Amino acid sequence: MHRHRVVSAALIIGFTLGVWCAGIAADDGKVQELNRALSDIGSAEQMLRQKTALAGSVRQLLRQQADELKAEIHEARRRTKVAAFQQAVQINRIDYNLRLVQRLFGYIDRLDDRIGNFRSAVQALDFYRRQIRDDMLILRTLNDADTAGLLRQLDADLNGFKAQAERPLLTASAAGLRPLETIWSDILQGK
Amino acid sequence: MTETLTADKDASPADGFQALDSSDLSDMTTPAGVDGPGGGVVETPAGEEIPAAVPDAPAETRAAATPSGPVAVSGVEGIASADDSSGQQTGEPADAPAAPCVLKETPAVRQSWATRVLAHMRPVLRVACCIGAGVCVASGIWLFMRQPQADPAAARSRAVQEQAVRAEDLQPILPEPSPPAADDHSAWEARLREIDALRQTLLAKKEEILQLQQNYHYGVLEVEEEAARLIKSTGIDALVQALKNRQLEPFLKSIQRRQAYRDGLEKPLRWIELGSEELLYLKRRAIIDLQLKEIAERIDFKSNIVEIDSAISKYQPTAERLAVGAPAQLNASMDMIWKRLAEQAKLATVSAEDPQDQEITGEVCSGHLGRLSELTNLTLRAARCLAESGAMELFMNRLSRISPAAAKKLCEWPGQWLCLNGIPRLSTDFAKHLSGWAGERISLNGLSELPVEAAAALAGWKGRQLELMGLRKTTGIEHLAQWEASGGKLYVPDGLRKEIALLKGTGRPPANPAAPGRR
Repeated sequence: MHRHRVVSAALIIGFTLGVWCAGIAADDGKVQELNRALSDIGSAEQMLRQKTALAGSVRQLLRQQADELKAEIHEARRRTKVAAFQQAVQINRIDYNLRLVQRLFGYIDRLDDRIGNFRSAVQALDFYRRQIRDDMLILRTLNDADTAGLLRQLDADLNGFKAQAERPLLTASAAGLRPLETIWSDILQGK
Repeated sequence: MTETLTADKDASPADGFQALDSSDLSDMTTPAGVDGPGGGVVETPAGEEIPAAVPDAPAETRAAATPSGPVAVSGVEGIASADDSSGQQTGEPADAPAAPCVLKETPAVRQSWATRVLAHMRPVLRVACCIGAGVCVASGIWLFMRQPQADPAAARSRAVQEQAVRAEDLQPILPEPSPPAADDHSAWEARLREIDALRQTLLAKKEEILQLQQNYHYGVLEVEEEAARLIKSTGIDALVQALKNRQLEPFLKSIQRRQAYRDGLEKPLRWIELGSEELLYLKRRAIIDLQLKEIAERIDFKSNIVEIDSAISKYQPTAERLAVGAPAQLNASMDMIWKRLAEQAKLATVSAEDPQDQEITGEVCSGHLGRLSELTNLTLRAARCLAESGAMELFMNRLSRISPAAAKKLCEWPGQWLCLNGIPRLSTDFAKHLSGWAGERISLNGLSELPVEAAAALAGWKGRQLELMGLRKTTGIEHLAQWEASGGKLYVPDGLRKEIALLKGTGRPPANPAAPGRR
């Protein structure tokens, strides 16, 4: 009988220890997952910032080229003394330069869109980073937190951001280009 | 082969050797006349020649020539040396008493020498013959083996030709070369260079056409000047009359023709302008797109290159594309020309000095400026010739008339000192042209008055020295003072000098600081 009790107690203690150890192990796994997620966020953010910087430098270059073309248009306008758009496009240099400026503005607008997207993605990643840090604090304090939903959403967004960053910065298209007349008016107004 | 038949073994080899001279040696070694029709000769030790074994000789002669005793037989078959020391010709009787003695002695001498030589030569000759035969056999084998590939270069050449033929055969089957991809730097660079080169060609052609157009323009003005004077001097007042005048009619036609060419050149100028601008646009567009190729997608490089190729082909400056069109279609109406000339004739001045001026102008245009100081009227033609003369100083102190076009052209002259002391009045237009002249000194000492507008225009001149020693009136003097204050050296009469000093308020002439921009 006594022997039976000793064996039962030993089994209960062993079971309890096993469950406790398993819990500790499970919590450590969550922390590791969260740390890994932070690292992934850092990598993605770095990539997005690099892409933003690249897009910004290309944009600046295109802007500079557009300014040079606009200066030529001003010069041609002074020489020929034209003001109306219909007259202006009869001057070859003005006409061709307006088309080039239109093209450059098309590229610049698309780059602006991409730069806006990258900045939104970086903000979203920063938001995720804060959430993860909050969950880590909860894990340390309460030894438990439900992180699965957050990590699932983060994974999905990270994949989306990476795919977005890996795409070319520009997609050439004739759609959405500013009208030549609008560009001419802006140039006349010194914009 | 030499074979010796020795009859007298006692003969000393040394004696025999000493008895021979150099002519004997040549006898032994040279089988002269072996195949000759005469059968050759045999020379005796004394230097006499005897016929040797002449087949056609009479039988007795052959018998006499044949030695009965020991003889030295030449190594060459068919020649027998039958020396005869007695000096007798072979035609002598065979039974001559001295013959046996000679036949006994001579073989002894020859035998000793020949024996020694042959004894030494035989093994050498054998070895040489063996080597020669071996070389012949080896050469034959080598040539035989080499025969199929006798000339590798030729073989290669044939192979290349065959390949070329095959390539030519295949060429029509091959697809058209596709436009270069965006990353094909060399192809794009070549295209852009091609655009640049073509554009430079077009711009150079444009300059040429502009020059030509200006020439025609001046040509029209020159003829108009002459025609206007002629109209004034003849008093012609209608086109019908003008066309009947033998002098005037060619002027009118010349004006019409030159005007047609001048106006017709507008067409190629426009074409060149369009081409050069389109090429520049295509080049710039390609550069913009190429700089984005790493970060962009769906840029239509193919379309870019097709348009570039098309433009390069379209804007080649061929004669057809640069044609001015039919001048007949461009001819201005004679009525218009006549009206213009009639107006000019009203303003034209006719002088008795005109014929002389025309002569001087002709000389000037031939490069002789010796009588330039006698010129009274400067026409456009004369001004053009002066502007291109290369002279550094022009003294035209009798010049009193100058047309506006001539004044403008004269001020393009790249000289240093322009002396126009005969000019009595300076128009504002002329003063404006003078203010743009690039020379250093202007003398206008014939002017007694300078209108304010002309003085104001002249004050903008960047030269160093201005002479106005004939001025009597003070109009425009403030502009002259201003010009002097900017660094120019002004020569005026004392009265005006005092006025200028008063203007400055200093009581003395203004200083001449070197103004920036003054030559």
